[in-house]
Amino acid sequence: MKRKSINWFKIRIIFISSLLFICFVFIVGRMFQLQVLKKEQLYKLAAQQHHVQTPFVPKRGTIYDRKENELAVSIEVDSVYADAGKVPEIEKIVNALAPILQIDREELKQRLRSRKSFEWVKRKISPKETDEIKALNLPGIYFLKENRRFYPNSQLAAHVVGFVGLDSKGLEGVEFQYDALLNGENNVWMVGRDAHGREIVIGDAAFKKEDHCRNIFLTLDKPIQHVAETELSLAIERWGAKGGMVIAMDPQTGKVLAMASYPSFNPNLFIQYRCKNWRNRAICDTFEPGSIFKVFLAAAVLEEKVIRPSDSFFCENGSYTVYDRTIHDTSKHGWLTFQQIIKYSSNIGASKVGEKLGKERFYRYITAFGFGEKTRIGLPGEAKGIVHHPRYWPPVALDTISFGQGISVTGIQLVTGLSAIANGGLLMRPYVVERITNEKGEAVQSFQPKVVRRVTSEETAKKVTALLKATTERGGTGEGAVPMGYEVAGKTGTAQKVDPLLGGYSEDRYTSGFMGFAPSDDPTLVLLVVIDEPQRFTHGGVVAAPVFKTIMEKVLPYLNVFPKGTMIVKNGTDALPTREASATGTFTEGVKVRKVSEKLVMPDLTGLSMRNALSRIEGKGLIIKFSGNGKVVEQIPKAGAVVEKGDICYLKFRSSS
Amino acid sequence: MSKKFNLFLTFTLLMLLFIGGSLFYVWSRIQVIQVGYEISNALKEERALAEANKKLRVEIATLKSYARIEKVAVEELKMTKPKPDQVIVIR
Repeated sequence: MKRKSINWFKIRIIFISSLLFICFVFIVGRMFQLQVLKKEQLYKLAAQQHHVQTPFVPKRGTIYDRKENELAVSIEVDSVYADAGKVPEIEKIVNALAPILQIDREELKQRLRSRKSFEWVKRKISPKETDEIKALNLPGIYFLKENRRFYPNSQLAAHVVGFVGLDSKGLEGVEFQYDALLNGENNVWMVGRDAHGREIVIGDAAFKKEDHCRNIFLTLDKPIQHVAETELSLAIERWGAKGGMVIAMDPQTGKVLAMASYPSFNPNLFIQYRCKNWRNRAICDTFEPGSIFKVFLAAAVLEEKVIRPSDSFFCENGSYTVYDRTIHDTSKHGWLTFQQIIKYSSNIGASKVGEKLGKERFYRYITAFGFGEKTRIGLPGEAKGIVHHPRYWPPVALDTISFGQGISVTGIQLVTGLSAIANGGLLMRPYVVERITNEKGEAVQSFQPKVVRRVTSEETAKKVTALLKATTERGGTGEGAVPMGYEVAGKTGTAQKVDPLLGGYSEDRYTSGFMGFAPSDDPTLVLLVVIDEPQRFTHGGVVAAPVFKTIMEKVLPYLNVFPKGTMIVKNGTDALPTREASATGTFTEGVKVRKVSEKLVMPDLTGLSMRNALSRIEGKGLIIKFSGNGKVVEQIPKAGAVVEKGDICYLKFRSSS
Repeated sequence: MSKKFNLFLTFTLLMLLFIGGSLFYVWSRIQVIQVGYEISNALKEERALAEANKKLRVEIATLKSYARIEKVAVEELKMTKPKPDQVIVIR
């Protein structure tokens, strides 16, 4: 019997085929497991490994002044943190970091001993510190990008701009008020990552371009703000005062061009200052305005036609008793017209005028000018002052409020009220934010001048302006407030402060102020200067008026309002100098248009007629001022003196008959 | 014979086409990845430049601070404010 031979070849084929089949089944099974059963989980895992999520530090919008000068900007800086678990030798790391970052060694040691995976070492460090630490290549020490707010002008407009805390949260001023708009959204930057950890863009994985943070443009003007702050602090140092404020406003629109408070602070280092320095006194502090308030009494009585500027009142020779109170004047006056009452700032006269007006009507005007309510300027912490209803006025209140005692106002209310006089009777809403733009610079919101209400007629406003102009003329209380070449309308104020301990008014603590506008015939700028508790001298005309004068002197030419007699040369090929008094178009009498010329010798003009004299010096570029008529009897500079264009030449004429 | 040869030729051509296509595909993927790297680097560079630009702007703003300019003008350059009659406005 022949044994059936085994077909090994066939067996091998079957074996291999089965093996391959099992492998195939195994592979298909595994694929099913990976692709179907564990699909979600593995996709997530892969995405985690392939994609890097870089948290994109939310930007914070920039704050500009109205000429696009940066007042607050955010820049990216590094913050150092430690993965305490990965720090091998705490002592060594602390010794390396502490001298660079100037931080407390013990505190850092304690934090590192906690072995937490995230511990701040120091936040928002300088680029130099970053470089130094990176060079050391310390284990367990890492960096994170954060935004740091930076105020390039330090103290400039600190009270208006405000500041932000460590977590980019606005804490004061515009930074606080517009925090939600300034802050962008938290974005994540998605990029791919290869096996070596290098970033790679796959598809549309880039981050969203829009940051949603808004830039804010203020109405403040950096040069005006600088002048206001500098002059305020100089005056406060000079008079040893406790504090003060300056507010500059465009009366036609209500735009606040400058708002300065003293004491001030540097918002870059705000934490180093006492919180009283952070307070924006111009809107937060209420005070008794004193004689400045007579402006509004004048507006009320003239609008109501209760009296005329020429009506006379007896000023009781400096002492006037009303009920239980005796009102005093700084200098004794007998009969004064209403115009003189304002000019010499007589309290007794103002009381009597107030009595004629009556408390109901006076109250109506006080509230119409915006006192006793917030101006809604758009800054945090605004006070509304204290204005009681006449029903609660004690009998003497009408008299005292007439000269600004027994009423409490804020600086911004005073400036807004005076702006209403300056612009012809319209109370404007003051504002500090001009427009809000997006990242691309397109305006998303812009603020326009807004009329709150008409308070007086144009005619009354002109009459009040005339009264205020008289105050700054020779002999008036505000004569020290007039810069050369301009006409100013304004009012001084010296208010006794309330003594918080004894009650009643203090004998030695005063608030001195001056408030006015210029040029008086076409007001460009309304300015309030308040000095709190000046020493030695207290009168507003001595303490605050010179500050007003200096600020106006520096700011008006910047606003293209030049003093009378300024030479204006057209920068063309034929360079013709023209002499303009100001942008308002008023020319100084006796000043002619002349051609530019070089140095020359002054000719002798004595005895010449006006026509001859003028033709002799015509075309030399001299500023010619003359008085009288007839023949030249006197000339300055004298004949033979070397003069050049722009020099002033005075000619005195006298008729020979 | 010629029929067999034609079949072989067709097969070879198809194979070459397939291999060529595959190589082209791989090459294009490599290019995409390469460009991805370049874009990534360019984006990084853009961010760094934008930040550097911002820091320079801040520096300009700091240098333009009026308090500083006034100090330099008065103390270093010994400049003084002109009197009103010394001012000539050029337009």
